Amino acid sequence: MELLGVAVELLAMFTGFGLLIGILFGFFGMGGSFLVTPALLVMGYEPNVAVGSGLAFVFGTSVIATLKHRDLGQVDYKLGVLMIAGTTGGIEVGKIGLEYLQHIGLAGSVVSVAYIGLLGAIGAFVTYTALKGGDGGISHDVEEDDEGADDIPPIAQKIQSYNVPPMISIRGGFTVSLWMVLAVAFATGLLSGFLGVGGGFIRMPALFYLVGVPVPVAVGTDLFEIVFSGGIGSFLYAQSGAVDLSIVVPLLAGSALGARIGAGATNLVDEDDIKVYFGVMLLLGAVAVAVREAGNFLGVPSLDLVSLAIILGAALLVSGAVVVSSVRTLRESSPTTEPSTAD
Amino acid sequence: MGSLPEYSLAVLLQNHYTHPPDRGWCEDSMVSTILQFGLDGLSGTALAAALIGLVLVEAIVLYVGYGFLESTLGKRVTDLLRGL
Repeated sequence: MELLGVAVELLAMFTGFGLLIGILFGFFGMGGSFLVTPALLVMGYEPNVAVGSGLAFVFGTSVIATLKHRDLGQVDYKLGVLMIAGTTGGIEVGKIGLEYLQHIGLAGSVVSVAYIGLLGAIGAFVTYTALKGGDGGISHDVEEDDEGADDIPPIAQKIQSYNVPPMISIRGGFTVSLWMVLAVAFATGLLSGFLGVGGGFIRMPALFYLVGVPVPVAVGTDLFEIVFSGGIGSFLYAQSGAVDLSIVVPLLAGSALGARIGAGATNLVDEDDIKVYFGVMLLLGAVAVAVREAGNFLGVPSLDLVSLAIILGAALLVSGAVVVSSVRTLRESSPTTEPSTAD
Repeated sequence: MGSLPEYSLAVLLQNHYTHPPDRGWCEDSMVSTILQFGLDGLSGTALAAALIGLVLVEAIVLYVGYGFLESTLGKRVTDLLRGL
């Protein structure tokens, strides 16, 4: 049976996969192309189709997730625009570094090791600080009155203490130097350009650990930035027709629902739980990439499948944990103390 | 010269400009999809604008549609999950 020339089974599979990714994307502000592109590559799609369709999907999902976070008051547009400006500059410089490494023939190994190391290091740091609890945490509440200096991580407090005008106010009730925001954005863009990845997994923790932005606002603002990067990237690929609507349309149908659930869950799930899930995702992502690189190095193609299984397993595990935590919170809260959103 | 891993977006973007797209077995499916959506007469920037525009329209329609469902069924689902 076919619908719009595509097998219904394939459409159902893409819709289910989209739901899974949407939950993670709405909850963490990352994970779209990280999951979709490898899956499409393993399914046999050509790299340009996998990347182009993945980017178009990320663009559509980020639009939906950003609108949902906007409804929850979790998008700081001013910060988002500054992040886009700083990140763009950083990406350009990062690409120069990448081209130099290509020139001397070290790009493949250096980028692979740096990517695995960075994923693993951020994952370990986030998990460690969340499990340790207390210091380094940020209030999950984005209401300005509730934000106390004690809730801001030490590095962010230090960065906020640099009084270099112009100072800008950030959602969460604090001010920070515009130059500090641009510096953080530039640094994240540098890594993103150097590694050739979208960078959500770098930007989101950078926003809350370095700038001190509350976690839900960091996710919402990161998604706002991805609308632009995903839109431009997919437009470039679409020019040669490398965006396959038979992939994007069903994926988006599933992820639209998932993104609402994920975004709503940020208001329900405990702050430290968010960080633990995020850290675990990154750690398993690092393992998956390492397995894949080992497969390429040893010439064992089956390790690609193992890598994909780890990524999909991690996605299923973490999105399931997010949903279970949300439902548990809902059950524990009485109707009179209902959180502001309950998707 | 060492090659970059295939997940490297920078390299894939670079290849996009230096090599004509080779869509392999996916080409038939994409062409038929493009035909289904009435985009067969377009190419280059117009095709890109139409494809991305369609994705944007779908995203907004889904956002509004699921929003409507949430406003009408949300409380019932929330109560159900609470076990009320």
